[in-house]
Amino acid sequence: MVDILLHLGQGFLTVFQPVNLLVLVIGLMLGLLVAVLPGLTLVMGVVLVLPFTYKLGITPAVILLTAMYVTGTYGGAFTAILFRIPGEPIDVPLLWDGYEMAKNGEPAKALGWTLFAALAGGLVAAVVMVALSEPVARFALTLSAPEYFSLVLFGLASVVCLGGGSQINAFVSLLIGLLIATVGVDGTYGADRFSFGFDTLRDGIEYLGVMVGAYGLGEVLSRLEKGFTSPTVQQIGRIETKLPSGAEIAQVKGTFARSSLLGIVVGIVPGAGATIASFLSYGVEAQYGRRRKEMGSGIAEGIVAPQAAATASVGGAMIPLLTMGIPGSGATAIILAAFLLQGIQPGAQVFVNQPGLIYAIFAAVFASLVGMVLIGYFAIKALVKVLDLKEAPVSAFVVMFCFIGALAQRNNLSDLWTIVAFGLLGYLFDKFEFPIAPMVLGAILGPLAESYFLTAMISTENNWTVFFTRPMSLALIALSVATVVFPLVRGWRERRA
Amino acid sequence: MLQVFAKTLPFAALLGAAVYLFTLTLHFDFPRAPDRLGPDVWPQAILVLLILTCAAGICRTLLADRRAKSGPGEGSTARAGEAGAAEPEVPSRYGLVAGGVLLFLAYPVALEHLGFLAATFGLMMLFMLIGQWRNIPGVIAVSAIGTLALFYIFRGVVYVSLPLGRGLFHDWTVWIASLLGMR
Repeated sequence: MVDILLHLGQGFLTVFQPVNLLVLVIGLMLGLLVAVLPGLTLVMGVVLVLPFTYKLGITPAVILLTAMYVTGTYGGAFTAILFRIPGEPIDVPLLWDGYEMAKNGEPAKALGWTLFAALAGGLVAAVVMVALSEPVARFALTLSAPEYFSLVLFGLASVVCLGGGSQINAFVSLLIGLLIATVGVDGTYGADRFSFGFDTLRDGIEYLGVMVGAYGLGEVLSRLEKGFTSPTVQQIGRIETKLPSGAEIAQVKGTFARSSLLGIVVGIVPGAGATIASFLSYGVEAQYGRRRKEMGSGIAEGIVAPQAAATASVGGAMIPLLTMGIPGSGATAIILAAFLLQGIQPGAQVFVNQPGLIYAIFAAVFASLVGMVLIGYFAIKALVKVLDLKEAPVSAFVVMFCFIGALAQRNNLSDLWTIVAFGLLGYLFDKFEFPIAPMVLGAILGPLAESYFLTAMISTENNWTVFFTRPMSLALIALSVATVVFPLVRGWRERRA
Repeated sequence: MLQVFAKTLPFAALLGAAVYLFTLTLHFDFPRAPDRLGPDVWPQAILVLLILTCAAGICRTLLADRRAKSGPGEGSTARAGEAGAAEPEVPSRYGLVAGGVLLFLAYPVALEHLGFLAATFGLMMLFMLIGQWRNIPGVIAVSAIGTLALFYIFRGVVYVSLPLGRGLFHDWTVWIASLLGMR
């Protein structure tokens, strides 16, 4: 415990070095900006900033992205509550009670509840993240290929089932992602897989190209189809934040505890992120909360539940990323990319070899939460002004950041074709209601899944039962099956009823 | 009928593609060993699952269509009510999307020949016009300032090697770079 606190103290010293602090503040501002602007999602924002990290060291690079990730779960609350414009899908549940509270004449109170929920949920998750990461990393060292394969399988099953919408469409999306990951010359046998004679494809398709194309260009095309008709703010009146009193907070402690815990758990599950945490937490509160019948009428529980869970999911999602190199959400997938671009594979070994880096990231999460509150409290009015920006020029810059990001990775013009192709695919996915997240996660986890699967099979001389005879692996496979089967059974029962 | 066709089309197209790709996996060139899994196993497993899922998707769409034809149930009535209460849908403008895609496709080619400055200025300007921003001086100003700012930040600060173009465009880009204090 003392060791952890000492390391954390050193982490804070690293974060408070001038360059890192500057990068942190920039990350906070950018995170709030992308969260406020309806045309930019959090994941897209983090993707667009990635090229700036190429020349930074690993520590400032990850601090920048982490700060964006933390504040990105909070910034959209302003516009959702004040103007009924959710900057992010995460903020949709805030429309139901946050906007209602504002309509009932208490916008400052609604913003205060959001601020409290984001800070408190984020801090609880950050403490859990610090406390659990080292033991999880030590435990991860004892796992072998079958367990890792089952863990990745569980992540893939989760992303299919937790995202909402059609499971068949989500599964198709995931399989396409896994297939994309197989393109190129195979590392073990040197077999040419699906490259069709193109040199670019022989090198494989970088998942960054998939992400930048599908999330960036695809989203821009989807919005272009609607003629860039974002809702506009008519006028910005008096905007302030009024924090809840101690007695008021005590009344929602149950909601707060449930939501924070749910946010952490959802964050840890690979494939699920802040949006799922936010919706799930609101749903749980609406079903089991003390004032469940009043949900949707502008009560504090309806604000605390989604916001606390969304911000708490950040700390949760960092645990599998840092301890096992498995991203828990879209944003952590990009943080993983930042690690890999700097030649570092996150995982248990990093805790042994570079504890300074890990604890600097932990400290950055705490510092981001505090910075988020300060900027959120004092700069709301300036932030919501960005909604006055025209969508066409903002999107033009988004497009440029996508192209430059793709180009900067390998200085190869053919990478631009990759992102255009995936931009078009992302647009078609959106059009035909196929979710993008499973494809992206499939492209990221595909090589890991294949590698763990083949390693397990080679080391056991093709004994398939190895996945079922090892307790941890069996438990994870059972969880994966339950994750897939449970929603199917529930849907079938609902149809029968 | 057209709606059913539109809904089954992506699944049918993917099914066809998956079958074709599966046939390709049968011809992967690698040294085969009798007791070892090759690099074809993993993609084959994915493709088999994809084929099955696409078939399930087609069946689901056809069954849903048959159920809908046999008469709307309570659920569909409720959904229709919900849809009616929703905000009016903004009409789709596929011409804009086609214009955007053409611009994206043209950009890598333009980048190679015209260099970063001219290609980016053109892309930004045309994209904003396609995006319905009709303030021409604003479009030109944002494109010009944006292009120079991006060039300065990424070439001068982040040190990304941005294409300089060919011939006159190369000379022009180098000249602008020197004006901005970059080598």
